[in-house]
Amino acid sequence: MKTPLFHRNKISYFLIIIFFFLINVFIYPKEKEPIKIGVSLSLSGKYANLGNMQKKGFELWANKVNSENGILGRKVRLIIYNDNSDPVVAVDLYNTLILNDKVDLLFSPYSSQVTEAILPITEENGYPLLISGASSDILWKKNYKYVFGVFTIASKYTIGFLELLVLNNISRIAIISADDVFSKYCLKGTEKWAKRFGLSIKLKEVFDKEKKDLIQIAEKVLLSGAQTIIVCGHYNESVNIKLAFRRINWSPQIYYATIGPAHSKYYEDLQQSAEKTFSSTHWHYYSKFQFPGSKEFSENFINKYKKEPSYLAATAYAAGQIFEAAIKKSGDLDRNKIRNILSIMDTISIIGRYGVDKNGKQIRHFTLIMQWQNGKKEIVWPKEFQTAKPILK
Amino acid sequence: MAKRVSNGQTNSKIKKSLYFRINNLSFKIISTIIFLLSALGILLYFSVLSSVSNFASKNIKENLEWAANDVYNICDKGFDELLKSGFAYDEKTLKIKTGLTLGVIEDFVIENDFDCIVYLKYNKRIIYYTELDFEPSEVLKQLMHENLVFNFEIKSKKYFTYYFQYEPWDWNIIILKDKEDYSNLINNVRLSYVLTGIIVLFLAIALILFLNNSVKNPITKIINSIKKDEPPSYHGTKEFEFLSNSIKEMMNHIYEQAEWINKVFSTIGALLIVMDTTGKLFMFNKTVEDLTGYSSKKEKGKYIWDLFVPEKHILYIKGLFKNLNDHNFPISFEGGILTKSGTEITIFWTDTIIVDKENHVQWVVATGIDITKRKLAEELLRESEKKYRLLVDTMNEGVVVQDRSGIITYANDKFCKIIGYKYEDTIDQPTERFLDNKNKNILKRELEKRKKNINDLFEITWTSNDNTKIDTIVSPMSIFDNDNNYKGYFGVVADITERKKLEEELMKAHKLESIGVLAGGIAHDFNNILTGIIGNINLAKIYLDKDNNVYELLLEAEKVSFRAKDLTQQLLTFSKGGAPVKKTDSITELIKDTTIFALRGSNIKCDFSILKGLWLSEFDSGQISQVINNIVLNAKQAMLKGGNIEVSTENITIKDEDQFPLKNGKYILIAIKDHGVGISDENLPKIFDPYFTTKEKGVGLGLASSYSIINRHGGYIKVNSKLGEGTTMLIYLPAKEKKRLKKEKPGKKIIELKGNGKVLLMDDEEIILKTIGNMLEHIGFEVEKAKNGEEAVSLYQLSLENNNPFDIVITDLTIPGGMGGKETVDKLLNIDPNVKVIVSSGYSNNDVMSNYKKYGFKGVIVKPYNIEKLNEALNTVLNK
Repeated sequence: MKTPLFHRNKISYFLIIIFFFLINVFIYPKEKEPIKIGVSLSLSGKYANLGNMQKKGFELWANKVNSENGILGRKVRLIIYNDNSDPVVAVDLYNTLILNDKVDLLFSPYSSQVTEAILPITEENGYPLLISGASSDILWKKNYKYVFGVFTIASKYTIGFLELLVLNNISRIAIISADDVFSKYCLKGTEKWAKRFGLSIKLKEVFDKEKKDLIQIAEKVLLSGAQTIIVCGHYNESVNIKLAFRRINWSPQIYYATIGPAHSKYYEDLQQSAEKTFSSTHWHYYSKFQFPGSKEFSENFINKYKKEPSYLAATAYAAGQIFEAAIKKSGDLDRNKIRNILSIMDTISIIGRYGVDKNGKQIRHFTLIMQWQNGKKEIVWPKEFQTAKPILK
Repeated sequence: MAKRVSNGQTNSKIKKSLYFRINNLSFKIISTIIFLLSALGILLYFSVLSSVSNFASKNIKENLEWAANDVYNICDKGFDELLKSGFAYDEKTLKIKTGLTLGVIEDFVIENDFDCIVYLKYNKRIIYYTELDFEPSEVLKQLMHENLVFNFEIKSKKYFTYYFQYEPWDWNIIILKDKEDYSNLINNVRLSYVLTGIIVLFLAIALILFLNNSVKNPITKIINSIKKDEPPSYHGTKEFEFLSNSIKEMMNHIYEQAEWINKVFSTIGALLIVMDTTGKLFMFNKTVEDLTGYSSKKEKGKYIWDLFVPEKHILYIKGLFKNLNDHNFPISFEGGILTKSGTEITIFWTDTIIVDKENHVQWVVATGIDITKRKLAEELLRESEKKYRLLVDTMNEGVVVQDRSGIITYANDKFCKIIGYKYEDTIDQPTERFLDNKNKNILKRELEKRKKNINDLFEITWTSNDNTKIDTIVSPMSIFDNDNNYKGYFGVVADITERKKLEEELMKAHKLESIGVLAGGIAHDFNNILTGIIGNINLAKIYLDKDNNVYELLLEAEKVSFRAKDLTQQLLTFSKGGAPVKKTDSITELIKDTTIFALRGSNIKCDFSILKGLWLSEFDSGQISQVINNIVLNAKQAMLKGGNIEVSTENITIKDEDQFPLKNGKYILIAIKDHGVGISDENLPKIFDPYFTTKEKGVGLGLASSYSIINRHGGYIKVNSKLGEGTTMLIYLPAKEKKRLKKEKPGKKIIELKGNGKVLLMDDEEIILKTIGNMLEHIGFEVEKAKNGEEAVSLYQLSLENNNPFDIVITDLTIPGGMGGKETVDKLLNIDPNVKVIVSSGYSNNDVMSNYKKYGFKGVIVKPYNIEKLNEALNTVLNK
């Protein structure tokens, strides 16, 4: 027979359970679901060097946001896949991110080639995409509604450098370009601007991007009588052309490459041959003028990765910043609202001002011209950001 | 031909189908919607497109002006910055600045979808142009007005252009706007239209589907039910449900009405066919179905002449339908109807029409009655009527029909014959016209009874055209109509004139018979008295000397007594006892002898017309002689001035049709006609009555006894007489085929008054016993007397026992309260078969007296008799 004491104990146990339940609910609220942001990057393959830099930029941004209690009170969780610099793989990965991982937002991959491949998917699924690893004009000529540029488009990469040539009375130029989409738009823009500035184009040549031995091109440049050689291509082309010149024992008066020289690896690979090489960069970790957060970014990056960040890490980081601003302005993760905000938003990131035209093309960001001088990347243009005078002889 | 017909039918079907489709609700809804949408679309298309086009042109021009202004500002901003930098005329700076300015212009025009050409004013060298489909130098060849929008066309492409100059840098700038953009706008509008059209189409389809579902389907559902003659039962949209329910109620009401009408139609025994105005069958009732074997439902829509109308009537019926308005309906005619098996049945048709409010014929209704049976019945009736009319016309009774006012409305020939008028003088005449006053009253009383439906037989006497009275008996039957109103009566009239006469005769005979009985009784008593008187007178005369004065007195007394005897004889003739003692013989001699004897000594001559070969007759010569004597004496007395009496005879055969109060057979007729004074009508019925006489000295028994005698002979006596012209007496006597008996030669045998023997005399009258006893004793007989049969038998028995039997027995025939002669003779014969018994009675006409031998008597003697007659009778019997 059960006693009254037994009953009293039973009620007590029940009340204790209820008490702990209430503490758990009200005093220790459950952590909100993180904001899932997916991205596929060229962590291997031909753009591995550049892609990895971007990965670090995204992670650094996420770490910073999460350390500051996330966005709208939600942490950011990055889902990063490796597309091996292959557009086909990237398409699959973005489908996976959207359909399987059901990410809230997406970052763009590296390179115009891969980016162009995945845009139809993001556009179709209504994911606003900040293009932080590509700048080919073609990306904004397809009337996509959800595509927004983070930095200057390809056809305007060389404007500052050409202006520098005019100012220094150098008029004969040769333009060679790899046959990828980014490089060709660089070529087109360079040619157009060169004409506007009254420069004389002695050679315009397009070569196979996969071709590593570019001696023939180098000889053509030699024979063209051009004072300046402008290489439209990525890191590999910038190095290979340089190597080709070395092989023919000739060095142009002025050597410019669109992408490659801005990365420290360029100098590491070419050493002395890298000296005096001009290039465009969308951000530099030190200059006369720094945009807000830029210094902190650089320090954090160096602290974490023990090396200098390239502009690709900064553009990735900046993309995170722009998204963060848009989400906060939206107040939620409604992708349409975010898209609308991105189309009209005017904000400052670590790489400069953000503002797009009606096609989503970046129009407010400007590019810096750097030159390797004595093993250092010096900003030589514009004058307001100059860390050293350009060496044109 | 067949093909052409077939094609014609196909075309007709196509037309019908097309007509049906055009009038289909779906078609109307769809076509209306499509028409409205198309009209709206076209209207909007042109109006909006035109507006859009104008708007676009205006907008593009404004845009061009705005873009040109912006480009100018871009240039001006570059130049201004250049000026402010202090390197406005530095070549390198200028190059850079103009280049950058061109870049800004480029960004601007690209972003705003313009094309642009910038060339140097002085040498027309193009320093910038957007990507164009033609050589930009082509534009420079056009004549353009500064700061004005104008059109430019090249390679089938049209542009709006705006041309202006930026003087600081000697730039000529042309802003171009591809009209394709305008076209794009238009195309967009068009596309919008197409999209809108598609949307509208979908909406239209949706609307159609909606209307189909919400309007057409309910209506179709309702209509389909109606087409199937079923009440709709739609459930859904409230309005259609209301409509469906209303129709359902209406249809149910109509069905109930129709069912009721059908029931009425089906219960109508008459044929009923309803057709439209073209003659197509709409329906016919069950009577027609049963009669013809056709089904109303199956044959609906067929022309009536293809089904029911016999060939001989087809043209008429078709003509009727061709000109329905030309006929005055209803039309009745005797026609026919064809059954499924082809049999034609005679029908009496009545065609009527049903018209609408505008008096247009809507339906033709034919009602008919199968008159085959009626016709047959009429035929049979006619036959029957003919038969009955023949029967009525030929029947022996008259038939007369009177209306309530007594007017004769029908009479058969016999009736006319009975009342003695012609048919045309009888019909439509008041019955009273044929009646005297007495009978008018009878008729009046009878009519009152008829009105009360009392139909007893009644007698009435008609007065014929020649004033002859005709007695009739009428068997009436009142006639009432359905409302029990008296309409008259029907009478069967029998002529009973002859029967009345016969009845009168019978009554007369009964009268005579009664008198005869009375007379017979009187005569019997009287004869007994006379027997006593005559016997005593007879004995007195015997005992007296003839010279004695008393003898003469006794002789006169005897004469008077014999006259009394004649009188009693006549009386006895009336009585039953006067039965004639008939013998078969020729009556010719008797007639002649008697007539001549009766007329002896008179001034009247007799003309005999006696038929040779006159049939024999069985008659009592004495009685017939008496008859002829009486008649001839009457004739003689009627012809006081003398003259001729015509006596004739003839053979006649009486048959049924002669309606004569005699049995059928052969008779001889004796006619005795005088030309005397004749007999008045008043006296004529009475002449055979006893004691009726017109003579001063007559007793009135002559013709009465004659009537009786002839009647007892099985004959008949009749008189025809007219006052002043004479009288004819007709005597009918039955003829006999027996051979004539041999005549006994006449001659009187005188028997001597002498007797010997013992006589038993039986009579109830003491005077008779005494007188006859004296007479018998006078003759010489020993006499014992008995007062009745018992006593006589006893005495005779005693005499036999004493061995002293009687030789002869004389018995009276009738003994009041005792045994008479007939029984006595039977007893005596039982005792002594050889007994000799003589019957004696005053009833000379009694059958026993006439046929005494048959009853066992040996002789007969009629009272009164004298001693000679007694002696003769005794001697005759005793000597046998």
